[in-house]
Amino acid sequence: MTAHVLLEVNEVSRTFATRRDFAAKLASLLGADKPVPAVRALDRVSLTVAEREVVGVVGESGCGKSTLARIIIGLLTPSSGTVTYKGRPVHAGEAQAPLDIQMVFQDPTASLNPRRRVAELLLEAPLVHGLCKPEEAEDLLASLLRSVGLDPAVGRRFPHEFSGGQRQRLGIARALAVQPQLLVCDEPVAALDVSVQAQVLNLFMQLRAERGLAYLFISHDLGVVRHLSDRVVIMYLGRVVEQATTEELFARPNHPYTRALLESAPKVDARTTFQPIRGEIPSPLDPPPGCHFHPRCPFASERCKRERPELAEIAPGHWSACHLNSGGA
Amino acid sequence: MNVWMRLLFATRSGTIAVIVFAAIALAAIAAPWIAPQNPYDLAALDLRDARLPPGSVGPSGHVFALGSDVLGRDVLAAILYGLRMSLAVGVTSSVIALAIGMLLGLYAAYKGGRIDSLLMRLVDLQLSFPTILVALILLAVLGKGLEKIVLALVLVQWALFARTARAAALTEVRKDYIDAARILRLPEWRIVLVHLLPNCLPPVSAVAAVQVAHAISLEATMSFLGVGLPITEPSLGLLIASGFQYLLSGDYWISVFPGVALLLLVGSLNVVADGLRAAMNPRLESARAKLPPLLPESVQSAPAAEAALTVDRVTTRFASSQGLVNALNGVSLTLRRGEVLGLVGESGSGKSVLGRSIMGLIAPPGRIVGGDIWLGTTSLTALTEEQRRALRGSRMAMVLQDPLTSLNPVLRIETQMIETILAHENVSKEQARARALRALEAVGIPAPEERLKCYPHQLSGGMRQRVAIAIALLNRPDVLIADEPTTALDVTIQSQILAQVQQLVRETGTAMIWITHDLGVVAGLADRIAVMYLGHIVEIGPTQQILSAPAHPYTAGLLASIPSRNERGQPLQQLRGSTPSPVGLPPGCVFRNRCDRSSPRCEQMPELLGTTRQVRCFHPLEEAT
Repeated sequence: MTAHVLLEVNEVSRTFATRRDFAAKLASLLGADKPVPAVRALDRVSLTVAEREVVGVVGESGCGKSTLARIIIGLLTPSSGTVTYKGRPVHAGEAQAPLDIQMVFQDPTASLNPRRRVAELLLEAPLVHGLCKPEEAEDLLASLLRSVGLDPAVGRRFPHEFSGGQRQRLGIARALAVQPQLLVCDEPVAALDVSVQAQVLNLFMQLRAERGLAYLFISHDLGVVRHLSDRVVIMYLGRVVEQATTEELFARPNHPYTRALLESAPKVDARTTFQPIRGEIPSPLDPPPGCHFHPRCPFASERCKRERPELAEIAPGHWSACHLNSGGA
Repeated sequence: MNVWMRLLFATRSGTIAVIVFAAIALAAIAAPWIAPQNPYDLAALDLRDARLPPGSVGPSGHVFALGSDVLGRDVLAAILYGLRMSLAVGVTSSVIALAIGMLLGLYAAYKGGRIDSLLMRLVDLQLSFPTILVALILLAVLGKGLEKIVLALVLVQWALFARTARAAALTEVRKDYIDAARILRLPEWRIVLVHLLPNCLPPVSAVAAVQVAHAISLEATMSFLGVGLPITEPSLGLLIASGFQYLLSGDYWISVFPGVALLLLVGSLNVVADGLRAAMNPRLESARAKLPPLLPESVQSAPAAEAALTVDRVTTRFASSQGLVNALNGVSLTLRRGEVLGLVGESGSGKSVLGRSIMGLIAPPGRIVGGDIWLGTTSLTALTEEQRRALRGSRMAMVLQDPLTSLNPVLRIETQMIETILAHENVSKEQARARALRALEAVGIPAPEERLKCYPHQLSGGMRQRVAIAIALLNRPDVLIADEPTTALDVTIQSQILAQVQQLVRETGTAMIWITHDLGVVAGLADRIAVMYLGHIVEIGPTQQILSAPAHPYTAGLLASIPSRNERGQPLQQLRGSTPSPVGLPPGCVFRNRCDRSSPRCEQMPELLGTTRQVRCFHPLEEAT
């Protein structure tokens, strides 16, 4: 990517301490030296998003993709590591993340305040931040609604008067109202009906072309990510296991987990017999040592049980964290 | 507000309470104009009028409709002034307490952490003492006076409001719209006051109505005990107290009439508050709705002899406040032994309602209003609920999206599985246990012996779903209905379960309906696919034919919009519009307003035509066969 880097996530980790119950607190008071169990939701995650770039993040439950999103938009702080936006730290002391990064949520109903009218929902932030004068508000509202494909005359309505797909459009319009450059989308079409998903995905692509937006697009749906993204990041249990350009990743998946994921995804066009990978996703509370994937990996060896594989560039722009790439396991 | 009002008037007791309360409140407010006397204008009183019974004319010429008290006051007038004071004190103190409590509660919920625990401990402390005791002590310290009793009442009430507001806010604060407001960098006060507050108001206002009543009775009690309002102020409590000593001598009216007035005021307020609370619980409303009427009986048809399941023109409707919801409109299908049918549809298509209709699990306000369902040659609609229950779990079974809804959280897996076997079969406990063990193995559960002893919460979501599937297949049912059982699971787990289920139903010969919104899931699983839209089957046929050459424009549109069938990065083909509401649909083809192929002919409803390849369309892309 020659374009300017917009967002840089550098070695970000985040742990959540589990709440100790009374017995555990008492035990530690009495001197029992049991460590507080902690969930390592993110474990040294690095990625970048360039201007106008769409980066897809794929992973299953417990992989940390939602924690990553919340850290990038500034709702959470990292336990270690840094997030910079245009070279400025996002989490510097009291200074909050810039308005330039906005978010589109999974649940279009829960993400809109049910008691506010469309006009209030969309215009509140630009008015509060002085991005628009009160006398220009009408025009801004109309142009926002038009740009997400809604009738500009719906300003007086409440969210419940819209369908699921239209509500998601309202959520997108609200984010656009503060002129962001980067949209973090956390499963933005997962809650929508199949026939409406395509409409919203098309809107994302159209907005990218019109406004030069960059996206961090989090999804479990490989088909959606493949269609939209320039680059794809695969996560497993808090770590990035592979990242590459979309074409490269889908043509030559390297990490055994990526391959398993691609094979497991239901496909309409191939009557495949299901060839599942074995085992369950381990609990993030107690991840396996070494490579997190080794208990499920058909190629795992002794080394994978001991040593964490680091991300290494296996081809230009194609990174994978697997011991198989460094002289075998 | 008008929704609340409608619901308030929905019950007779609610209506009466609203009318009684409104009448009392109006009379109280208008007291200075309608009262026959100003009982607190001491100069106007005539001591010769003292303790006259109701209906008498005093020496001063005044008519005492409800009698007079010790000072010669008109009791009716005193009651009206007293009610006025009661309401003023009750409403003022509750509103101030609501404002303070709500702000504190909301802020605590929004901030969380130390501020939250500190405030809530304070609330707990306050609420652990009886209100009346706290009020007594406060007033003993503060002394008598109008503003003092209001202050005391605020101090005893704020904690309850704080707790209610916090509880409401805790659920709201986790919703995405609050996150969205934070990401939009709105000021904190704005998020709390503009976004959080209006959404937490309904439960708090129901509490407020009760609290006004409570504050009114507290004021009366305090005044009665002599620590509330000074003797010069109008108060029902003081009035009751002043007549108390004359009760035994037969002059009942001085105490009893003010008492009745107080009772009516507090009682009606409490019923209104109850109504408000009920109005905010939508479940109570739907429980009141009438069941949809049955369709006229039509000619019965016999089921196909070799079919495991025959669904014949089943129509299921739900009553709702907006009108009748036609969830299923004469749906027919047959399932052969061992066949897997993928039932595909979006939300509102009726796919889950069909599954539940087959299982006999449609509960009010919904019911099956027409058609018949045959399990083999047994007509399910002719059975009693008891007979149907005997069939569920033995000859037919169901797996739901959330396995926790079908697993009992307080019983070990073992207990639940053995029970399921013993309920339908006469075998020993040991035999049942051995079978349960084999069933867990068969769905791919590692270390089944250990898992048998687990409780559901000790298993992961994927494991729980496997257990639910194992239980469903325990008695080798003829028909299994699986309603989105893998939708909530991760793709690697989903593909494991799909593989196992496919193998299992092949072995047991169970016919299965797999309900899903994901065409990719049924592509590898189902022998045939049925596509539903707004309560109709629009297309049904062999999986490969449907996927490679869809006949109905809706199916074709769905398939064309799948990203893998589009060129990467290019706009996806899309269906326009969204599924309309199933209430009050115009007649004709239900898809026609989104269809590119529709013609005036589509204002009629097309039939589902064909035998192996059925399609409900006048302008299909492929002909029915």
